[in-house]
Amino acid sequence: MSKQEFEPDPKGVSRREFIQQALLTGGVTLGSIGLAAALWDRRHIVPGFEAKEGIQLPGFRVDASLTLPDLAIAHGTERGQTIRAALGTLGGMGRFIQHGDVVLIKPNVAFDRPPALCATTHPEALRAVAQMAFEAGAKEVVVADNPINSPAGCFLKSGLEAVADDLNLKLLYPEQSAFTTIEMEGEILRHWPFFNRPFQRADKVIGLSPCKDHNLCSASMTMKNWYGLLGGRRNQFHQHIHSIISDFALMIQPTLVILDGMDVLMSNGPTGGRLSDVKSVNTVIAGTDMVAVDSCGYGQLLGRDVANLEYLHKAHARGLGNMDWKTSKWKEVGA
Amino acid sequence: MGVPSQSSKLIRKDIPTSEKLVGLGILLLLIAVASWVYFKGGQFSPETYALNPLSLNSTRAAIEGDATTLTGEAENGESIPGQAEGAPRLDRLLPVLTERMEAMGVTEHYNPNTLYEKINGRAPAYLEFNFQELTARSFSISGLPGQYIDVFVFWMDSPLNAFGIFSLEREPSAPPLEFAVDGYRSEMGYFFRVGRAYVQIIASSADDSVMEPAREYASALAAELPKNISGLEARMRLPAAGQIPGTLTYLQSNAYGHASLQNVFEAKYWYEGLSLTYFAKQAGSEAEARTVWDELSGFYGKYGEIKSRREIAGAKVLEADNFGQTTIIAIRKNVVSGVINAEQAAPARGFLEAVLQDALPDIEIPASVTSPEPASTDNEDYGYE
Repeated sequence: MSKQEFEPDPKGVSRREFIQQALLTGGVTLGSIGLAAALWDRRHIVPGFEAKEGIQLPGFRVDASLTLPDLAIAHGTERGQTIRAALGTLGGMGRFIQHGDVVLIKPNVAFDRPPALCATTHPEALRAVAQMAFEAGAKEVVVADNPINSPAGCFLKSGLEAVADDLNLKLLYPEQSAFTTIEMEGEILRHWPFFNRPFQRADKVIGLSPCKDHNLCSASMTMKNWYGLLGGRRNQFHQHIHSIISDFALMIQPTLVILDGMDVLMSNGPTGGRLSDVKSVNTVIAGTDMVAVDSCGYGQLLGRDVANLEYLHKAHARGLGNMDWKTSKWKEVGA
Repeated sequence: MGVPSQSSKLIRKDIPTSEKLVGLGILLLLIAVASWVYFKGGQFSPETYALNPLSLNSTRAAIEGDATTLTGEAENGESIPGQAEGAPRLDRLLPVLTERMEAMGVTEHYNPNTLYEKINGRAPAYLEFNFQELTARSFSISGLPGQYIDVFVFWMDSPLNAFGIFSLEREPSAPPLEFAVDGYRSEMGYFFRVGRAYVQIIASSADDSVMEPAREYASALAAELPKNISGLEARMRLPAAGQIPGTLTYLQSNAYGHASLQNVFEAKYWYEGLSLTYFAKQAGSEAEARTVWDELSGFYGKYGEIKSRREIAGAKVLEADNFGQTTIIAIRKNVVSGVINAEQAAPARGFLEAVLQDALPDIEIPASVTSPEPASTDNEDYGYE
């Protein structure tokens, strides 16, 4: 059988035919892209293609004082009086709250534990701070936190609900509709569901934290307290706990933070469970720089070496606060 | 000149510029798309897209009755649907058990993936001891408005790991319990291990009116929990006499800096006016025990001074001086034990000899060393005779 040679079409492809085919191919390609774009649902696409739209929190700080301290350490035996002494040293609540302000107080209500175990913000601390806010002219005091487990149970057993009822504070529980995506250029926190509703009407924000030992990050104080505003599967951040805590100093600029060290959870934190874990230190630290307050608290309340607390160093290195609190304007008083 | 091949005839040599441009454009477009995919992939948002398949367990398990929080379950100790008649399984339901308790809600269940929802940042400590499940429930106390107890039963994978987390969190000076050998009363609660369950009962108040019903519930629960001491055999090697209460500890790994010393129990003893640390490890076999012994002997031979080698009651005994402290170790069958880092050699020597000869006398521990009564280990749970 003889081999038949292939003979190409002597005519080849004309310029017109080529342009027609190229246009047809291009049209089909562009049409496919257009169709895909029209049908594209962001929620069901591969990771990384989500829209980067989110909010940034406004700053809630007041102007710095040239004369008044930025950090106050107060010692006393009665919680309310000691908190008043600390805030009085800073110039009083009137320095921070103006008449008609809506004040948001962010306690730490992470667990459904009785107040005596010091795993949560003490109800008498909330009472004192809320009363001082009203005395300074606050129109409304809002209290909000996002305990993962049973917010109602946490507010009830921590005793904060009773104080809220007593003083007519507005308790905001986390609901799905209360979260908005926050967007920021944190070390790890960039795009995340955030319990934003309490901030929508707030003029001033006060962080009110217990001082606790923490299993993962050594200490839970005013910076860690903001963790409670995150939604989603936030335990994912536990592997980068120091990074995320330092990010909170970027995420929010509160008006004031108060670290309640009257009774400190010294061990088995953050849950505790035994009164033997708790030590009375009879001290309250308040200030406008949460990094400075936590640095002071870590040494003065927990008696630990600040050199070992990584998130303070991270925040300090990023210029988000001053962990060398003794270089700031500070004052120590007795209640 | 030969005939061109079929393939070479198909290659066009004269390609119009416009066609080249279109081809180049398509190539550039593909490169741009690839670059975009690469860049966007780097902006990964775990919150939005990460799917942990295990997180579906609660959904899947709901159908089977294993939901994170069981709803509609039976109250007051009735068995839950689908189970055989009889006592409820305590890993499924925490019943009322005592008359003065009234359930405040249903039994909550948490698995290793959801434990953080209940105890947040404390969860990793439990996961290190192979936590399996938490059942939790709150009970109000009849006749005491506003007072309640919170009951947490942490189910670990073994009694050994239950003891591990128990000893990690233990309050050293707290008084022991009469109803659980590994247990103590705290000012506001009861903490104990039974089988592979580590139980915390936390009261709303330290007042006796609350703590007494809490104790009743704790005692009743301890009686109901399945008993199991597997893996805790080495614990039985620690004598009760002279043991300073609250000092019994489980060392999961790397005890005293020795990689071979895993699953070790230690306790402090009061002997001849001195506090001594005594440990015991029960190996799986005599060969394994010998490996541990060889590692320890080698260490003290290299970094210390071996003072003597003896045999006491069938045990090989080695005494070494290490930086001015005395360590005496012994091996008998599959058990390696010893007194470690004693300040004085003579009491350490006398104590170990007495232990090996089963001749440790009753020892009165002065109040300055401890105030609570020592926990009895003459307990059925541990099989002492």
